[in-house]
Amino acid sequence: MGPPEVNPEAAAGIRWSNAGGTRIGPAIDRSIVDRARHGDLDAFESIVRARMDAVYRLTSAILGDEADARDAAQETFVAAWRELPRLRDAERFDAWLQRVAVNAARQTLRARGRRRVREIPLSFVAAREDPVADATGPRADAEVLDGALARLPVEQRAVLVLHHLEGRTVAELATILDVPLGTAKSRLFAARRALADAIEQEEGR
Amino acid sequence: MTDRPDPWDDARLAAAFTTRASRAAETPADLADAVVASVEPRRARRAPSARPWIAAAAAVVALVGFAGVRLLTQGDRPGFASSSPGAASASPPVEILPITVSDALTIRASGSDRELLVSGYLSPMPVLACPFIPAGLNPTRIHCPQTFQWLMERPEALIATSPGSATGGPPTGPAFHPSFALVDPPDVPIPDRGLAQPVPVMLVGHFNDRRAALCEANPKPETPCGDVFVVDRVAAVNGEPRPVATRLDNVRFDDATQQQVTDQPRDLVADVDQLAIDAVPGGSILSRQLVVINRVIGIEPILAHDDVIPHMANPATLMWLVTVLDAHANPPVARTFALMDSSNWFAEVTSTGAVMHERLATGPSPKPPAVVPSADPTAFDAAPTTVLGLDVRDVASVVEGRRSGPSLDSGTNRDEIAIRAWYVGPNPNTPCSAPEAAIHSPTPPCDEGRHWLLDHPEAYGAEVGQVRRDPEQWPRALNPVLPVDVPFDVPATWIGDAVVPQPVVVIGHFNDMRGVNTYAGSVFFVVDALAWTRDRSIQSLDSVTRLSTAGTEDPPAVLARIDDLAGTTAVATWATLVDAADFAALDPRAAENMPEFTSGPPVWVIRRLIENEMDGRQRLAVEWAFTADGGRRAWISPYPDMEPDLATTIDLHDVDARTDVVRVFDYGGQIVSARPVTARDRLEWRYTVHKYMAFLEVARGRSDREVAIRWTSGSCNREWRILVSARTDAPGVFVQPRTYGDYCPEDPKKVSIMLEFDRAVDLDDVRTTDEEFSSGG
Repeated sequence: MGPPEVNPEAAAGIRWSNAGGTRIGPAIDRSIVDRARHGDLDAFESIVRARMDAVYRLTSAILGDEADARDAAQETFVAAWRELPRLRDAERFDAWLQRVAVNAARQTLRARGRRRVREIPLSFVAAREDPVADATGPRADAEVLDGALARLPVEQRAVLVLHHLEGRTVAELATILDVPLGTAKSRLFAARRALADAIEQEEGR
Repeated sequence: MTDRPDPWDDARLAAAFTTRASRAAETPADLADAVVASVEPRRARRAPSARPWIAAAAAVVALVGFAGVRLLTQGDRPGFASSSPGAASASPPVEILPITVSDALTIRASGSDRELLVSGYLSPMPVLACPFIPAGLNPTRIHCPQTFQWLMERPEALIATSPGSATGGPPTGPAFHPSFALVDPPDVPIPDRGLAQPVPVMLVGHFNDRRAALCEANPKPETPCGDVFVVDRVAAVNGEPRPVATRLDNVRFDDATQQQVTDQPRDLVADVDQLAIDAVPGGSILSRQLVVINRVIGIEPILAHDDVIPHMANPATLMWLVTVLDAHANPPVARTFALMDSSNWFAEVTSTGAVMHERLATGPSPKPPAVVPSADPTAFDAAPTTVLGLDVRDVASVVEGRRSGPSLDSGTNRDEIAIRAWYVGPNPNTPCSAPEAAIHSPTPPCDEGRHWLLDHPEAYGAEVGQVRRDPEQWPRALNPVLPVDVPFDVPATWIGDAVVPQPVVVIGHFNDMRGVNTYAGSVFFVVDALAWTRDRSIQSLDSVTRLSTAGTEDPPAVLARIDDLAGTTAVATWATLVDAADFAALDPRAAENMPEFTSGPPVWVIRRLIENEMDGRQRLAVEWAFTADGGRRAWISPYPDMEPDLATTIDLHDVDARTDVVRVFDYGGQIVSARPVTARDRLEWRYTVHKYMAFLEVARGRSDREVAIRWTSGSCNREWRILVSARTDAPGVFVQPRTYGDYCPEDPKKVSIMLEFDRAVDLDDVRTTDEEFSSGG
């Protein structure tokens, strides 16, 4: 008889729940967050593993660049480790972490911003050279969207990604961005308008 | 959404987002490991880098935490790390797990009075019209409104307020009542309207206090006295560590003058601490109280049976009560010692009475402690109201702004800040303030050696050395960090035993990377420059500090080199020259990230105050740059709280007709030269690995130290960066070509360059990180 099966998430204190809101993965027991807040690296490591995919997906969607997304995801967790003791409400950890990730993405792009233009990693170039690429449909739309997003500031990209990719409601956006509901609405509106303009430019190229 | 036709409706947009996301690379498999590895060394280094007062706090937390951990590991709670007492006392506080409220309740039920470190959420104390309760009751006895305050496992908001009314109830989760009879309680604010949120705290204390046996039966306690958690120390509030504190109860009504008077002790805190530590070798001070003699019996009812009563004849008599953690007891417990001020009456207070000790110290200090003079209202008349365009603020507004602001999004935590305050330096007569090493890391100073910035000098010495008159629980004060390389020519703040606060204007910042490695280090305000002080002219904020005599370069040449690389103009510049061997002492984190500066010639550390764009705003912030004396490489931090990146490159211009420049970032310092590839090289290209997602081609150059690299680009941009670093998993190098700009698929091109390394490099050991990231396909 082999060793008993162990659910690594359960072993790490991570459980699934149906709680909605701003959660971005399997629910993390608040005691894990509390332990991490008090410097327990094991607890923090379990959080990193539970949330890395979600954070990387977010930074990747915002930045559109693998290396930058990696940098931003890493910076997200390093900043989270540094700032966790100041998180007042562990129940809002996921919203807070997404805010940290948006901030890290912003920092990453601003560091690149000295060069004022978008970075293209080689793997992206290869993907663009894929001969099976279609000129119409979602794949073409995705390429247009890529170019259009690159024309927007990170703040607007983040709002759009959170809303259209992550499916966040306006109320959840407000929580994640730590702004009033009305501000979240106006930011989403402005981002959509800016994206529409950028798409027009991309399509007219 | 918009008032014009929008073929990109939500559904189409969502589909495009989804397609775009599906095309993205999967999360790099090594990323989580990289994150954990990047934070682990910082934690591991916290203990040795902490200064004594932090270390003292660590010892308390560690030992108490150990007590809880040991008990829990005897039970059924996996996941808690056990350790030996000795190891625990040397560990940083963040490595020690405080126990939860639930676990503390388990210990309470066992009847133990062991000292515990409990982490939980403290609810506010409601403002209620309570029945009159005479003052001076047993510390284990709580009554209204204390019976409405809880230490809770979960952050339950118990009280809802609206104008003129408040409603509330007990918590639903695990909780117990703390007693703050022996220490000043943390401030838990109640809003005018809405839910009052609890505050995360770490409290040191115990249940089943010996005083519970003497708890008055009448009126009947609302909570059994033994069930009350008697707080001996507030260890942290909102994640910020709190130092050992002295609760002052030295104000009384004088019958003769019919006025309130504040009695000043003759013994100093250092005297009292020394006595207590002599009595409990290896102990740690948890808290102190200075109490008017007539109120001592209320706190220590057992002393009513000892010879304290006769001393009450003189109402001006003061008594010190000191609580000490006896870590060598099994289990660790708190012990209380009493010293009649300015006398040899010194005893341990036990459950059976006072056990007299011989006063081993030399007796009370010959002079009463210094009294801090009132603030001179004209002191700041000549002070500037702005510095480099920064509005000069008082301490209260800075502290309040930092505590109330969002952690990251406000961004203000990286700003340069100008503060107007009364400055008091360390007391040169205290044991802890021995002259520091010539070069020391700019970490928080020791407890007794702290620097102070105060709005009101009367608030000085809230816990240390002097007794403050101000009864405010947590004065708006900053204990700034003064790095060794910051010139700070302020008149003496101590004349003998008298403290002479000096008015100053300083500029500085929080979130200093050099403080991150210390426990809560980023909350410390780090001074960058003295901008003004009375009667002393500050000619310039710029400065050069030489901590090494071995440098050969003139500062202007170094600054010019950095200015050229940074591409920004600094409004103030601070240069420090330090020996490479001392670099880690000056900036341990930088030394870890840039080991090339830990040996060889001296290092220039340049702090530049620049207009930095962060979080969408332009504001003054510090940028760090590092370069070796006479060297050519420099590292620059793009943001004040980010680690520096290599700023110097090997630039190849006009590599081909469509490539203006290729900048080679030699992170490992392994590249001797770089050049364009020529026809004479006769290269045989091959991919770094033979699989679909390989982008980089390599070829052998004219020697085994030369490696040619080639990549295909669809970028319109004519500039490339090549990041080269040493591999950690094998011999060889990582090579990562990067570029920016729009995509020009109609114009693909190949770019190639030749790199000469300082050692032989096998082509099989050349990897590109993109290939690593995309290996999953």
